Amino acid sequence: MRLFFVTADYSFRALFHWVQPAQYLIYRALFPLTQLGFFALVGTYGGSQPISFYLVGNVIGTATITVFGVSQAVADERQQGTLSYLLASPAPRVPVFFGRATLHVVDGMLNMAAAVAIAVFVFGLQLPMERLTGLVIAMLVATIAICGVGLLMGAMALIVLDSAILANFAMFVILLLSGANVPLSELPGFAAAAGEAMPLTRSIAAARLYAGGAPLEAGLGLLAGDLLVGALYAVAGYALFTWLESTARRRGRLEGV
Amino acid sequence: MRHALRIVWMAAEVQARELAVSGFMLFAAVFQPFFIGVTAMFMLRHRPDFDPVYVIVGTALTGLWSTLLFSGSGVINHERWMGTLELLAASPTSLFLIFSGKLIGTLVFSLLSLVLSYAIGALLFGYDVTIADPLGFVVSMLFALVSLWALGMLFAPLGILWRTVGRFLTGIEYPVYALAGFLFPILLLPVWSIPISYALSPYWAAEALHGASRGELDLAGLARTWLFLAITGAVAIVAAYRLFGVVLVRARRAGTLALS
Repeated sequence: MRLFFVTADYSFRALFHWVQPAQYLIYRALFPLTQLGFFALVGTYGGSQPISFYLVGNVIGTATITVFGVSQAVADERQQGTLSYLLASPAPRVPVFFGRATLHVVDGMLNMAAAVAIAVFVFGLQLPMERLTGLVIAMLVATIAICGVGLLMGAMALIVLDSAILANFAMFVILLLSGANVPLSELPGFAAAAGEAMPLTRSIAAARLYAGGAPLEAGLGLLAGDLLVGALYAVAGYALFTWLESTARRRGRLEGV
Repeated sequence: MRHALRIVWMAAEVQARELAVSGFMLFAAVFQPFFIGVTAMFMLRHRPDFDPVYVIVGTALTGLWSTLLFSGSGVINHERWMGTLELLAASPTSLFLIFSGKLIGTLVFSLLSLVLSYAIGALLFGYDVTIADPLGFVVSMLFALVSLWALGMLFAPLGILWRTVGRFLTGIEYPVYALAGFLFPILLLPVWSIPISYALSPYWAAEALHGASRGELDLAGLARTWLFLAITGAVAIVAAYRLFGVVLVRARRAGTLALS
């Protein structure tokens, strides 16, 4: 457990270059919040759904920004020249790998809380106060689930060398296919099926239920599904990471797997 | 003159070659507009007055803007990271001229997003894409490119003179998508933000290109947008010229070019 939390702390502070508050605010607050406003206004202009559809979808959609942090926390070990020390250490790999996402969950929640505030105070989103618990749980599940994608992207970036591009891809694919902006029923069959296989799809659906006044039980099944999908991505990331490690040891090519 | 043009041409060519192999810039010019274009097409196609050309032009503008913003705000820093900034600053050739060429290369590269946006509308969604006023559109595009280039030239020294400003610039990508009305009219924005839109060359670029592509602006209306593109571009390039002077002063007198 100590290793888990030490990894969480150091990977967050050291690997993501957030020494200066200005940089932190721009990348983790300004960007997702302006993205929320942009898509909400495009949706309003389109007029096929009420604005609450786009606001709730994009509040949960801001979780996608977490992919950047988590994937960089894994992939930047190579860029910083610390990957060889990490893999040479006797530390168990499970806390070393999964610990990297921990603080990003907290950070992602703060981000989404800011997004909710913008949606309520700037765009006038009406949220039933008695359903806030459900909405907060949906936000938490979305953030945890998206960390799974971040871990997988981070491990993949050790092969393709650029975590930022992978994270950008993941963000836009999820924003397009998860139902944040386009109802899944409007997408072609293959795209809707792909959307079902992604984290956030069910969290967004559950959040819309809660924003519409549905009771807590109504969305729990959806949220459990999203946790499962996120866990599958995280395990896939771990499997890839350990495979890369063993391949690197076998071939003696740690920096060029 | 020939000497200057040769320098601009060479700098543009080097820049275009560098961008063509940069995964991040390819993402900004091609993949990000693809996702934004497809998403916007789905979101806007239910409007009674839906015109795919509106989405195509708006999407192309997002690609142009993002590429120019990221390339412009990082173009001097890129030289610093490559260890070539001091060499460029010390050479007898004008630094302003070199970076002018580099951002022309960026503009040419960013036109990929225009081709891609057309492909989204015509091939992926199968719409019949027609430009209502082709001549007006071409002239508008030329004015827009020159004005956006001038804005990119303004961003270039900002990023190196004030590091925080440089970082802030990368955060204005989506706000400008909104303030310029690339994919929705600025009337949806709060009233207080409309003067900000009027001060931005991307807004006038969107006005001109949307207006010409949909045939909503007559010659007088187009001429008005071209005038504002010329004014905003001129202001930006004069400011950029002065800031490049400050960069050179820092390099030669203070000796802190690489330390900002």
